[in-house]
Parts: sequence; structure tokens; C-alpha cells
Amino acid sequence: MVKITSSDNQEFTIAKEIANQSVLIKNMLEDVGEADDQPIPLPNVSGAILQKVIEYATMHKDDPPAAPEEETRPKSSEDIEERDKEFMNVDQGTLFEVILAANYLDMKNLLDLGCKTVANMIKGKSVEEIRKTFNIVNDFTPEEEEQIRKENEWCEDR
Amino acid sequence: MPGQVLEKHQISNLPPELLSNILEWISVFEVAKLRLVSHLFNAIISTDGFAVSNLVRYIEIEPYDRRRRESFHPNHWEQLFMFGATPLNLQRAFVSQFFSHIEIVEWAARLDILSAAIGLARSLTHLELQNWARSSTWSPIPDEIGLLANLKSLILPYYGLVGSIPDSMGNLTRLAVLKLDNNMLDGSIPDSLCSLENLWCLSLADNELCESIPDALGKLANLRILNLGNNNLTGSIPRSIGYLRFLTELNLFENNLSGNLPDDLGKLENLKHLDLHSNKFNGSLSSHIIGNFVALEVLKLSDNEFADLLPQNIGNMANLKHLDLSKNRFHGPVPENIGFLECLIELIVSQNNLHGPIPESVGKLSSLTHLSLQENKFNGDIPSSVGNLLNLEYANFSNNELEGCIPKLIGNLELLTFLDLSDNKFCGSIPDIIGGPNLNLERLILSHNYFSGCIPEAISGLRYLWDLDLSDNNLVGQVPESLGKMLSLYHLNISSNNFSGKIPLSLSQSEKLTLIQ
Repeated sequence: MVKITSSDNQEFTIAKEIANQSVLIKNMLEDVGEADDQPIPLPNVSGAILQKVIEYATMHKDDPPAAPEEETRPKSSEDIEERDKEFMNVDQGTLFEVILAANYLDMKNLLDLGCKTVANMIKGKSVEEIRKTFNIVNDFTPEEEEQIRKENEWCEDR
Repeated sequence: MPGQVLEKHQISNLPPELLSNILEWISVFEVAKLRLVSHLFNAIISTDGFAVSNLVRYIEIEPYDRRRRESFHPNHWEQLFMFGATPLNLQRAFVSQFFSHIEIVEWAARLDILSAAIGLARSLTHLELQNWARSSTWSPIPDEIGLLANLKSLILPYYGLVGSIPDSMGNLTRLAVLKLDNNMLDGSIPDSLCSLENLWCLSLADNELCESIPDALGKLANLRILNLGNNNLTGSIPRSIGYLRFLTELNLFENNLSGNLPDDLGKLENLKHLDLHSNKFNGSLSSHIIGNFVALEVLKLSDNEFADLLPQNIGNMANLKHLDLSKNRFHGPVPENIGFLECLIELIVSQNNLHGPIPESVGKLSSLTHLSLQENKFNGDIPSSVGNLLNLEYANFSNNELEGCIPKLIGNLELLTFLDLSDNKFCGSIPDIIGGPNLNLERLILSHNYFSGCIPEAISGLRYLWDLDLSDNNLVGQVPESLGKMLSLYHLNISSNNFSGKIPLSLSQSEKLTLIQ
């Protein structure tokens, strides 16, 4: 078993095969060796998010390693398992924090899942809808906007 | 503080690499539109790195197909990149992805894009780009071209190339074919090109290259084709040309080259095609050179300043099909052995100072379709052997000092469409045979001679005749009524003769006829 602590000092004890899904933790464990019983501090991740991340890692602990041909198959953001879709059904704040945590903990599958989820929220929306959805301020001058529109003529009607 | 927590929840506050990770999952076309969301989105989407990741994920043939394909013929997706309107970072990404694997590229890309990716193209062996992408950009050949060390052929015609040929091309030591025709390249032919000893085709025609042909060119010992036509090259042909033993085609036409032809040119025994027209070459056409041209099929020396007699061994070029010596200052007779050129299709010696009779042996040139002897000083009769030239389509004897009658055997020449005998001293009557049923003349020019007698009625049998000029002769009698009934005729000149009687009603009523009386 491995002990980890969140930024707000919550301590979690998890099985090693779950902890090893994070390349960061895996490397740390290899560095400190088996003997060390000290909890691993993860100052960039809050307890609530760490809970979420552990939930994901537990869900996927029995996944087979990615087959080599998996790498060469064209990938799409629509390619998401149903249970993962369910898992990512959270508010935007949590979603971004999970992405940040996955990036920090070096968990490629979770990071991809998070990014795909956000990409799917963007897809099919107009620029205005995207700004509204993600609370983005339009910081372009009308001239700048016109310039980009002009440069974008090549992708119109596609 | 709650405010801080909220800020962390903004997509815009994600580290750029994570936002980039997200946007990579969106198709190239849709993501381009997202540049309008904010400055941050625009900045991320416009980077080279983003374009590569985005493309790699979305290009259909990526990545499995890319490695397999040896040649690259664009699919609908790839064609988008040929129209040059896609953003530069996407184009660079596209090219770099392909060029790292592909060996053969035959499609249109902008060379400025290519130069950015060219460092990745080490495996490229064949680069052939045609600028049918309607790109109006002019760009120089990038110096980096010298990095494509495996390149065997480089073909960039009509490519909007400007500036000089970079020295770095001398590094392409495996190059066998180099074609840069129809661009606006200027400067000299760099000496470094002369170290490409595997080169067998060097074609730089239709550019603005200047200065002289480098002497070092003689080092290209494997050269088969050398095409430098239509440039601004000066100086003379270097003697080292004689080392190009395998040369079959030499085109130096339309330059400002001058001087004598070096005797070394005669060492090119394999030469089939020699075109030096429209330069300022002078001196004589030496029999040393001609003597070895046994394989030659095309010899064009027109529009130069060659003088002297025609070489006596001109008949040695047994495979010659096209001979054009027009617009020079050759004088003296045409050697009798011209008749040995049995393959000859075109014989053009017009606009010289040649004199003496037309050799009887011309009649042996049974393949001849085009005979231009005009604007010389030939005298004597047209040899009757001309009647043997059954393939003749064009015959121009005008502006000489020829005399005698029209040989009757001309009536054999069923393929003849153009016959010009004007400005000579021909006499006698126009033979009936000229209107014979076998002839298909379209233009018959007999003006400025001493023809006498009447216009034979038979002329109206020439079904295809549209131009008949009989002016300035001694013709008499009535103009035949039937001339006006010839359906094809629309240019008729019978002025300055001694006709009597009235102009036939049929002629004056004909509407399409331009009549010059």
C-alpha cells in the first residue's frame, strides 16, 4: 500500500497498482525505495480532486496495456467509454482541475479523457457559444477579427 | 478566497500546453475557426507545434499510410494544401510530416513552404513540382536545397523561381535530372553545377541566365541532354563540350552566343539534335564537325552569322531529318551530295547568298515535305527530279534567279499545298498540268516572272486553292470565266499583265473575292 497526501493535508492509502498509474508517483516510489513508509506529498492536488483521480485509477486498474496497433489507429474525441463519460459528468471547475491533476501526476489516459471531454464541449458550437460556455471575454478589436476572418477563408464551408 | 477558486476554473487559465492538448482533438477545419475566440486561442492555434499535432491526429492517411506510400499523389484532403491559402503553420506542418518519409513528391507546393521543411526531407529522391496551383509568388531557390543529398531528380518548371542558382546545388551529387525550365532565374550558371557528374539531363531553358557557358561543363561526362535555350548567355561554346561524349541533345538557341563553332563539337558522335538558332555564331560550318554527325537528326543553325561555303560532306549526315540553315550568309552552291540525306523531311536554306543551280540530286530526298530555297541567288532550271518528291507539301523557290519553264512533273505532287515561284525569271506558259485533278494546291504564287500565254482553264480545277497570284507577268488573252466560280478562292491577283477583253462577270460579282487588278 502507498500513502499520499493532498494539498489540504488529506491522506489517502491506496494499492500500489493504483498508485502506479501515475508516472509521477511511480517514479517517486522507485526513487525512495520500498522501505520508506512516509506519505508522498502532492501539493498541487486538492483532496476532493485526488479522491476523483483515485476513483478513475481504481476503475481502470485492470485495463490491459495499450496494444501497439492502438497507437496507429486514427483517434477521435468521440472515442470515450461509457463509464468514463459518466465519470466526467462534472462541473467545469472540477473538470479543469482533474485535467491539471492528470497532467501533474502524469496520467496520460486521464489527461486524454479530460481533454477529449472539453473538446467535445467545444465541438459544434459557434465562437459566441464557446465564449459563453467557458466565460471567455472577446479581446479582439474589430480590425483584428476581420483579419482572422480573412485568413480563414480557406476553411469556410468545410 | 472564492474569487481565486473561480479563476482556476476558467479554460483560459489552463497552461497553454493543456489548452493546446484539448484543441488538438478538434478537426483542422473547425479549429481554424476557433482562432476567433480570443487572443489566447489564436496564438495557440497559430503555432507550428500545434499544427503538427493537430494534423497528425486528423490527416486520414496518418500515420500508417504515410510510411507505405512511395510516391505522393494528393488525395482530396491534400489538395487543399496546393491552393496555398491554408495558414503557413499548417502548410509547414503538412510538408514536414510528409517530407520526412516520402521519397517522391510530384505535386504543387509553394517553394517557400518547402524550404522551411526541406531540412527534414533527407530521404527525398525525386522532387517534381509544377506550379499549377496558380501561385503568383516568386521565390528564389532556397539554399537549403543542397541538403537533399539523396535527390536524383529535381524538376521545377514554371515554378516562379527568381534569383540565381545557388552554389549549394553542387552538393546534390546524386542528381541525374535537373530541370528548371521556364522560370526567371538570372545570374550565371554556377561552376558548382559542373561537379554533378551523375547528371544526364541539364535543362535550364527559358530563363534569364547570363554570362558564358562554364568551361567546367566538360566534366559532366554522363550528360545526354543539355538544354540552355532562350537565355542571355554570351561568349562562345567552350571547347570542353567535346568531352560530353554521350550527348544526344544540345540546345543553345536564342542566346547571344558568338564566335566559331569549336571543332571539338564534332567529337559528339551520338548527337541527334543540335539547335543553335538565333545566336551570333560566325565563321564556317566546318567539314570536321559535320563529318562525325552520323547520328544527327536535327540541325538548326538559322538566324546566325555563319558564312563561307556549305561543307562538301553535308551528305554524310545520313540520319538527318531536319536541316535549317536559313538567315545566314552561306554562299556558293548546295553540294550535289545533299541527295544522300534520304531521311530529310525539312530542307530550309532560305535567306542566304547561295547560288548555282539547284542540284538534280534534290529529287532523291523522297521523304521531303518542306523545301525552302527562297531569298538566295539560285539560277538555272528547277530540276525535273523535283517531280519525284511525292511527299512535298511546301515548296518555296521565290526571290532567286531561276529560269526556264515549270517542270511538268510538278503535276505528280499530290500533297503539295504551297508553291511559290515568285520573283524569278521563269517563262513559258503555265502548264495545264498545274490544274490537274491530282493537285491539291491551296496557294499558288507565280508573280514577278515572265510567264506568257493564257491562264489555263484547268486552274479552276484546283478545289482547295484560296490564294492565286499571277501578277506582273506577260499573260495575255481572256481571263477564264471559270475562275470566278472557284468556291475556295478568295485572294486573286492578276494585275500587271496584258489581258484583253472584259473581266468575266463571275469575277466581278463574286462577293468573297479580294480582287487586285
